[in-house]
Amino acid sequence: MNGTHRGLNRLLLALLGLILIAAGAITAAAGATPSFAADWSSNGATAWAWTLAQIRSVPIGSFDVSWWTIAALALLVVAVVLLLCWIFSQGGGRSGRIGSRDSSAGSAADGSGNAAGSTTIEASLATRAIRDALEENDQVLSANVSAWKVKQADGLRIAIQARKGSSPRQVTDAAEETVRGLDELLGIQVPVLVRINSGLRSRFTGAERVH
Amino acid sequence: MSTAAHTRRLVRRETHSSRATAAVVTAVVTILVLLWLGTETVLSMTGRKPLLASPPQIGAWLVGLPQATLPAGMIAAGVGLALIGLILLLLALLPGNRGRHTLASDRNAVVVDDEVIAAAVSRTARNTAALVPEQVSTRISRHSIDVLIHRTSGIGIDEEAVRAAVQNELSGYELTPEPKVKIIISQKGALGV
Repeated sequence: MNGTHRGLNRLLLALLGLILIAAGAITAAAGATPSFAADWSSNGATAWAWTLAQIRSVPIGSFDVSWWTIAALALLVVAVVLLLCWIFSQGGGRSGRIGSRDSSAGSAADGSGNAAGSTTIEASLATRAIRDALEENDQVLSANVSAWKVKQADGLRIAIQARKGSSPRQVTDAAEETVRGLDELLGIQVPVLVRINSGLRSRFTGAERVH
Repeated sequence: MSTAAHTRRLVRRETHSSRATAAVVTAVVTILVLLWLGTETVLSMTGRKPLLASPPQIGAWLVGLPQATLPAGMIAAGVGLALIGLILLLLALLPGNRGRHTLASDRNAVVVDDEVIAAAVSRTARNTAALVPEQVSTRISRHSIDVLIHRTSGIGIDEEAVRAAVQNELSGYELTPEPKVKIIISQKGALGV
């Protein structure tokens, strides 16, 4: 439910994959056909000589350093910074609030006389309420509630660790009842994702044998 | 964005891999290579000894590579590179389903781990056939649920009753994608299981 840019991840992975496949195919072809290997060396030698000539053609003053080298270094730095941005773009999106509503000022004519303002609901309120309500259910080992803000949309994520062998339908119904209570309390319907999982605690806690 | 579309997106994000791990590993490896290249460039610029090879040495090495290496070595290296590339490409293109199913619910979007469903199915099967927990195990994949039952010697198991009970339990879940149920009862009975 986090804010990872999944499309970007897949695009960049595909791009790097294609580059590696192309490099691999060329290398393998050079091993398989001697004429291709000869072309590689002759073309490569020409290209490398040309590159060296370019580099030597623009020295910085009287130093033995080329502007091209500086440009290449700058390019490397930019590439590293972009890659770091890619790494830090993973995840994120956790939010402290679950909903906000703006209301405009009511006019004197309609008699409401409301002042303009906005209402925000802190997540901690809902978190405690839902967790306490769910953990009373004996099919539920533990519940964890977090609020997320992904692409301008608030949402709640309720992660429930179910007792081994408990019916996901019953757990879902319990969660639904709790969330409906929250809806009534808040007056707005927040998107809710319920995730029922089995963790270590489910594995080591026995199934309920007596119903 | 409409609520339905929003919910669909939430569910999709929960049931499919984000490829974050692959992205971070790829980025870290690429950064290390780039940092090494940068260091070599700076070292060569200031006239110091290279760590592994200076940029001019790298260039000359690349040009002479096919002559300096056995053809079999070139092919092996090329296949290795292409395989890594293929893995990245597949990571990008495959859906990356996690072992989870969606359960129908009016109010919420519900995603259930396959393990939870398997445990519930096992419980249903063993309550129906009066078995102990060790006698029933359930395997679940995206499109199928296999219930394996080890029966006690000399006691038959009503396969149809078990199937009906499991189907009944699953129909209450309304899973997406809907898995097909298969009941497998061991041919040989065992004592003391």
